[in-house]
This record gives sequence, structure tokens and C-alpha cells, in this order.
Amino acid sequence: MRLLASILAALVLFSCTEPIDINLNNDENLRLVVDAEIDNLLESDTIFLSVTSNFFDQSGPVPASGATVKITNDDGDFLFQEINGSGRYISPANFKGAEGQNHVLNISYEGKSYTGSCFLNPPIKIDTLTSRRLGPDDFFNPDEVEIGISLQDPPGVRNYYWFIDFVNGKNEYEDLFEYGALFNDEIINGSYLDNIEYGTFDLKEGDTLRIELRTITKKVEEILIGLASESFRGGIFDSPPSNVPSNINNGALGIFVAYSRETKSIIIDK
Amino acid sequence: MKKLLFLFLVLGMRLPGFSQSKITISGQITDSTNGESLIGATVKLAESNLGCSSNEYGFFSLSLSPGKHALEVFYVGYNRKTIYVNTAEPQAKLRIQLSPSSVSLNEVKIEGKAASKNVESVEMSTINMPIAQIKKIPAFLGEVDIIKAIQLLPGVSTAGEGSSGFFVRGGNVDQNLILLDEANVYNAAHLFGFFSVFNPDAVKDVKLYKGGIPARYGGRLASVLDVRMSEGNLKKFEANGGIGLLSSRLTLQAPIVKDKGSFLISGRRTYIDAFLKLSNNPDIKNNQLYFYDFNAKANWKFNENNRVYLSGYFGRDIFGIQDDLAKIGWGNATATARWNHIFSEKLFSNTTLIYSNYDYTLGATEGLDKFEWNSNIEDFNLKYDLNYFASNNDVWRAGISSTHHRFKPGNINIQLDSGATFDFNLDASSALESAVYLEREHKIERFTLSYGLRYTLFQNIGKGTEYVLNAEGEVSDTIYHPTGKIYNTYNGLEPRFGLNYLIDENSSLKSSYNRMRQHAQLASNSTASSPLDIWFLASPNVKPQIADQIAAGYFRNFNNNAIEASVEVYYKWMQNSIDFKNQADLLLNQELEAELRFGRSFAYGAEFFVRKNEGALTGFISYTLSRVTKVIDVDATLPGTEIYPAKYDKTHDIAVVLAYELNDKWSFGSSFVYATGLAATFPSGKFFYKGVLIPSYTERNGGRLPAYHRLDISASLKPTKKPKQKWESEWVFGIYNVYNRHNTYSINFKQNASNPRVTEAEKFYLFPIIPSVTYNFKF
Repeated sequence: MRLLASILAALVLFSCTEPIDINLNNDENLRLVVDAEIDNLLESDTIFLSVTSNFFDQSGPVPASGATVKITNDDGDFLFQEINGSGRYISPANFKGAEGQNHVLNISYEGKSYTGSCFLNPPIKIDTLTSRRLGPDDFFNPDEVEIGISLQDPPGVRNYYWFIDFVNGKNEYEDLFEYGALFNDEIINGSYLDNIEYGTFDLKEGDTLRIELRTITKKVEEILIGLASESFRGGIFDSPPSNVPSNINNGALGIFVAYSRETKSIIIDK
Repeated sequence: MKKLLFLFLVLGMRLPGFSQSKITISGQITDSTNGESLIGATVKLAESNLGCSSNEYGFFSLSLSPGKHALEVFYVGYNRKTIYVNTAEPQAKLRIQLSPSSVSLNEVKIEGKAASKNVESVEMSTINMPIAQIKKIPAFLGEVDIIKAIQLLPGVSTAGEGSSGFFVRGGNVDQNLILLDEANVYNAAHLFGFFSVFNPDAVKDVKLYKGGIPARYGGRLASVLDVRMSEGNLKKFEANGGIGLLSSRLTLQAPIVKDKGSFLISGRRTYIDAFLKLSNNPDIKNNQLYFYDFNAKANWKFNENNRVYLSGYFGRDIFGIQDDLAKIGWGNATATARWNHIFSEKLFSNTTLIYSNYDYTLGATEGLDKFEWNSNIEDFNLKYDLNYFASNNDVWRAGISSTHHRFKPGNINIQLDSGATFDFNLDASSALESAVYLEREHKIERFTLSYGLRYTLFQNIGKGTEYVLNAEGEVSDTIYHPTGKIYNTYNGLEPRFGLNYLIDENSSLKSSYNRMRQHAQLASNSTASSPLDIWFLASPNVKPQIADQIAAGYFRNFNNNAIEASVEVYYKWMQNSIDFKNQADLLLNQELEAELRFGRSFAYGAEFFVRKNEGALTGFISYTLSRVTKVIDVDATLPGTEIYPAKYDKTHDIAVVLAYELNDKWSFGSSFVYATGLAATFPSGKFFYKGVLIPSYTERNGGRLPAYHRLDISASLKPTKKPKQKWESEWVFGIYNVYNRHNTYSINFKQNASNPRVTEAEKFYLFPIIPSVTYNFKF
């Protein structure tokens, strides 16, 4: 990524931007958008439903209220309840995702029904986190703290990782590349990852960094990559803009993720 | 196949009836100053219109009735010559030498292809660009570029500023067969596509076939760009070169033994890094960015009937960050060895061995992990071609060719701090692509017919991995094939046909049909050409792409052939067209085939071309009206199959190129282009994921960028040469984008920095007005 970013930086030498007026085709702008995440823990899960709006409208998310939202696995059906017209639907108290099971999401909204499914993969433990403060000899991000991570990739199966990091309990991000990090074992299948670089952070002594490891599926990884690259465009090596693939049918956009969660924290000591 | 071959034989039978007691003379036409063979020179009987033109090696063969004849020989930019032959005397091979009409710096005057060759020849949709003509077009940063010149021709378009990719009659950029001395060039781009790999000083001749492609060419759907390197001066030592803002170049050529053998070596190197050093940004300052390339060619005449040519190209681009901290390098290497053998004045052969390689490496030596990643394509090709001049009105060609492809899409080695290393190798794939062809061109009174047939056999050879895809295009099973096993075969016929009806001396009607098959394609869907793009072969999932094209045209010359004009229309339909699904992941993807979507595409258009070749003012005007449509299901979130224009679909495309020679000292050039904006996908809606705006779309390529237009000018000054002075020089001053139009390269949509609720569009443009100066020399 950094290497490509540097190529872009070099090309930007010769290039400029300026605003332009464009008329857009505003047909068909009430598609359902799903942001559904469930995990293997008993804490409550939220599914947020919204609809698309015209591109140049000065609006935030437009909630899709009044939908029927249901999750089904081998343990039965679980109906999610909307919090007063907010488009946010909360899991029932007895619901938690089941490891090693397929989960089906059913949504019925304004007379149309939508279905998506996602397999919930078992958790993968983070063994250790290490930190090292970078110095002036390091070219990239001197003065920041480099975080190393160690874990055993379960052999024999493909594993897809979604890491979310929290500094002092907060995940601050400006785009989806900063929201979380994706990784998979296509190259390193079955290996022990011994202190590989997770990333560098602008941290002070005494700060706590918590990393959450979510085990996801190939399809979810594909959608998350799509969402991130659609949210951050501008490179001339980008693929052409297009709808992000979705794992919900009937023309809905968005994503349904079922994952297992493991966390590990480190306190920066220098 | 049997049936069609039979047809050949039947048509061939008529041949003896025409050629009673004729005597065939043959020979070679060369440049008198350096011994270079001249391609496409005309030899014509003075007393009639009977004549022929020289082939790729400067050879010609002509049958005459017994007696004395005067032959006129002429070629663009050379003085006409008349020679006398008496068929009663025993004929040695004729060696005809033409002298250039103006000798300074290759900048020959563009005089007509004297005869009405473009009217008389059966070739259509084909344009020959002598290198001297290309050098007259104002060049970006003073770097003369063959592909940029080709892009100005009718039926050829570009995909954005500075791009060295080109699109011919609705074909994709990877559907052009780009040949350098017959070797396939897989990536013709230097520096992310802003320059092409062809060093103009090493190139003799460029020919582009857009349609009516002869049967001797195959493997790509849309066009053939046949680039021939200069052979080297057979007479005397010669050096020429240039110093420009961006690069310097030097070419040396000399005889090995005068008139027996010669060589040429040519090289150039850019120094863009020098500009990077000027940057205040330390991220940019210590980077390296440059390319270099070498061309070399040698030839040796063993005797009148045997000549051997060796030629090669090697080029490399280097992009390095912080003095080798991380580095990308990529480039092509080609080598061609050809043995030219003359059996008789009517029959000669070429045996050619060709090697072609493209590779890139990418590495980093920083951080907790180091990695090295490389990828390459390697081709070995052996071919044998025969030319048979049955008579002036009847020429046959036949040949056989076989190419072994080996594509290694990516090998990665990662070294962790802990000492552990990981190797990740994407499956390599190999294939054998073989072809046999037969073609014939013959004249029957006012008609000239050319017809040919090519049979292609493509075999995937193990070791290879086959992916079984389900209905959703996802991999459902994997089959491993052992080394040497032929696990998949495609074969098919490619008929080619051309017809010319000569209305009168100055005008003709032409038509053509051709079918092409393509078995290798490029995995690329970005705007700029990335060196990391890989090629992939046809396979059990990827069927060969097939294109059929019909074209018709009216050709007319005015003013005693000083002005040539043509109008052509074409219609092309393609099967098994490939596009990439939404958000396709093409880089380092083992299951690349799961990212592909297949369908059909259509292209049609009309092309207008007027060229003036004589006088102080020369140049051409080209206009293309066209459309390209694809029918492929690329978006799984939308119902049904999408029908959308190709990105490079341009309704109007105009180029006006003029050169004016004021006097011996000053000459001027200008080029103006106007084209409909590229098709682009614009969002119609938006939604938010984790509070971040994501656009949504209702159609692919439904929007248009603003129209593109640009004017470039140049002036060249040749200081007066003292008599007897050997050193010749020339200054070329140029201005790119004279009226400083900010042509849109792409449009990005984003959230306003201060108010994220507000979304706005922003255009991205590359080059404003840019002046340049180049100094050329020769001694």
C-alpha cells in the first residue's frame, strides 16, 4: 500500500485538481442499505437499516424504519426490535451468534423481502502484542510506535481476519482503511505469525492500544474491501467505480457479517 | 477446412492462362546512403501501369514480356529513378539504390507515395507511417513517440491524457498485436504509459492494420502494429542523437564489411529523477524514476541468396523509493533471428526464431518484513514463411508458426524479522499456440482480390491448475494437471478476404472481411497502465475471444496523387468478450478467473482521412465517428445483463496535423485534437457505512467526461551548415497544450472537507501548458 501511495505521490507532481459541475442521473434512489453485524458474544447486536439518497443531497443516513428483521440459525428464529423509528434494530436478550453455524438474515421492508446469509467462523486468539518506538532512522512515520502481533493461523482452512484497533477505548478513523485492517492466510496458511508488523500509531507513553480480531468469511472480506475502496477514490490505478458487492439479495446494498471476536491490549511503556 | 483449401486450388488453376512466356526479374531496393532496404517502394513499368511494390525486406519481383523495358522506381521522400532492363540478357538480381531527396537528419520531405498506391492496392484500413513523418508531429516534452502518432489516425483512440495505450475500432488496448521486428511486445509503455517503448531513432517503418488483416498475422482481435527496426548503415559510419528535457539518446551504425553486413545500436535514458530532486517533499525527493532502453540490430549477407538478421530490444523502468528502500522495476526484452533465403526470383523464404519476455519485480527492504515479488511472461516462437510471386498479378504467401507461452503471474517471497520466510506462488500457466496460413493476392482486370485462411490451434499444457466455477462465478473445485499434459484445446479457422475495384486511375472501391481469434489478454481495469498488470491465457473457463469485421471504403486521390483521401465504414462483432466484475481484485489473485465476466461487444463507425504529402505544407486530417457497446453482466447487485458503452467509446474524434517548411532553416509543425469525452461511471445515489459516504450506481459508463481538445505546436531550426562540415544539428522547440486547457483525466466525487454532509465533484487533470526544447545532432 505504501509503495503504491508513493507512486501516486510522484505522479501527483504532474497533476492538479479543480471543482467541476456535473449533472447526475438521479433515478432509482431508494435502495435498502444494510449494516448488520452479529458476533459470538451475548452482548446486544445492532442492525442498522437505511435507504440511499440522491448523491448531491445534503443529508446524512436516511433510516429505514418499520422493517421486520429476523436472524435464523440452528437454535431458532430471533426477531430484532427497532428503537423508536431510528432504523436501528436490537437483538433479543437471549441471542448470540453460534460458532460454526450459518446465519440467515431476513428483512421485510415496504413490501419487499431481502435475504442474506453468513457463516460464523470460530475465534482465533491473539497471543501477544509488542510495541517499539521508531526513531529518526526509520523512514516511514518516525516517532510513532510500531505494533507487532503474534498469533497461530489455524492450519488446513482458509482464515479471514478483520482487525479493529482502539486507542484508549476509541477507534478514530476518517475513512474505512483506518476503521479496520483486513488480512488473510492465502500466503501464510497454517504458519505461526511471530511478531509481524500490525501497523504504526501516534501514541504517548501510558496509552492503551486494544486490538480486536474478528474472524470473517471470504465474501465478507470482499465486501469490506469494496466498501473501503469505494469510499476512498482518486488514484489513477483504481478500478472503475461500481456498486460494492453485497451478500444480501434483491438489490439491497450493504453487508451482513457474522463473526467471532477476540481482543488483546497493550500499554505503551515508552 | 478441406473445402476452403480446395477453393484455393481451383482459383490457383487459372494462373497458367495468364502467364504465357513472361520473364521474371527480381531484386532489392535500398537507400543509397546507408544500404537500408526500403519497405513498400514502387517499381513500375514506364510504358504502362504494370508494377509492384517491395515487401518488408525490400524485395520485389516483376514479370515482363520479352524485350527492353524502362522501370521507374520511387518511394516517399526519395528521388525517383529509372532503370533499363533487357530481358534478352541474363538477369542478375537487380540492386536498385534510391537517394533521399533531402538528406538532413532523416527529416525527409513527405512526398507522395508517388503512384496512386493507396487507390490501387487491395489493402484497406491500413496506414503506413514513415518515421520521418512521425518526427514532424509536435511531441510531448520533445519526445517523439510512435504510438502517440498512431493515436492521431482515424479509427484509433486513446484513453486519456498521455496514455500510450491505443484502441482500434472498438478493440481494447490488449487487442493490438504490437510487433517489434516480429517479436510480440507485451507492454509497450514506459513510465506508466506516458511514453512508449519504441525509440524513434532505431525505427525504420511503422504500419498499422485496423482491418483487412492479412492471414499471416494472428493472435489479437483489433489491430496489428508492425514496427520494423533500421538495419544499420551498410556504407559508412553514422552517429545521431539528441538531448531533450526528459531524455538523451544516441544511435551508432556502421558497416561490418561495406555492402556485406552492418549493425546498429541505439540507446536512450531519461532523467526524470533530476526533477524529483527539485521537490521540497522528502517523500519524493529521494525517489528514483527513470527508464532506459537499447535497440541493436545486425545483418550479414552471406551471398546473393542468403542474408541473416539479428535484432533485439531491452528496456527497463525503475521506480525506487528512498534509495532502494523499496523498488519496482519492469521491462521488455525481445530478440529476433531471421534467415532470409532466396530460392529463385519468384520464391523466397524467411525462417525466424523469436524470443519475447516481459517481467516486473517489486521489493521492499524496510520494516518488520521484507518482500520480493516478481512476475514474468516468456514466449518462444519459431516460424517459417514463404513468398511466391507467381506473376505480377498473382502473389502467394504461406507459413507455419508455433509459439510457446509461459506466464508466471506472481511469485512472492516474504521474510519476517524473526527469520521465517513465506513463499507464495501463483500458478504459472503454459500453452502452445500454433498456426498455419495461406494467402493469395491477385489481379483480374479492374479487380484485385486478396484472400487467405489461417488455422489456429491453442493448447493449454500442464503443469497447470484448472478452476471449476459455479453459476455465480465462484470457484467450486480445483483440478491439478501434471507437467506436459495437454488439458485443454481450442482451434478454429480465421478467414480473411479483401476486394478492390478500380473505378478509374484515381479512385477505387474496397471491401474486406476478417475473423480474428485471441488467446491471451490483459487483466487490467484501471485508468492508467500499471506495470503490475498481468496477462492471462485462454483456459477451460476463458474461451478464445473472436472478432468478425466487415469494412468498405472509397479511396480517391486528387491533384495527381498529391492529396489522398479515403472514407471507410466498418462493423465489428465480438464473442467471448471479457470484462471484470464490480470491484474485481486482479492483483495477486490465484482465482483471477472468478473475477471475469463474459459477453459480447459491438463496434461500428465511419472514418475520414485526407493526407497531403507534397509541397511546403504537408499533413493530414482525420475524423472518426464511432460507437462501441458491450453486453456483459458485470454488476451482481443490479438485475439482468448490463449494456454499456466501453470506456473508450468516443462519438467524435478529430485530428488535424500540419507541417510547414518555410525555408532550409525553419520548419513548423502543429497538431490539434478534439474528441468526445470518455465514458465514465458517475454515482446516482449515496449511502453511509460506519458514517463514511459510499456512492451507489445505476449504470456503468453512463456519464461522460467533458470533451477533450488540445493544440500543440513546434518549430525547428537548422543552423546553416558550412560546406564540408560533417556535423549537422537541429533545435526543436515545442509547446504542448498551447491554450492551457485543463483536460479532465478523471472525475472524483467526495465529501466536502469542512462539511461531510456536502458532496462535491472534483476533476483531476494532468498536463497544463508545457514548453520543451530538444537538440538533435548527426555526424
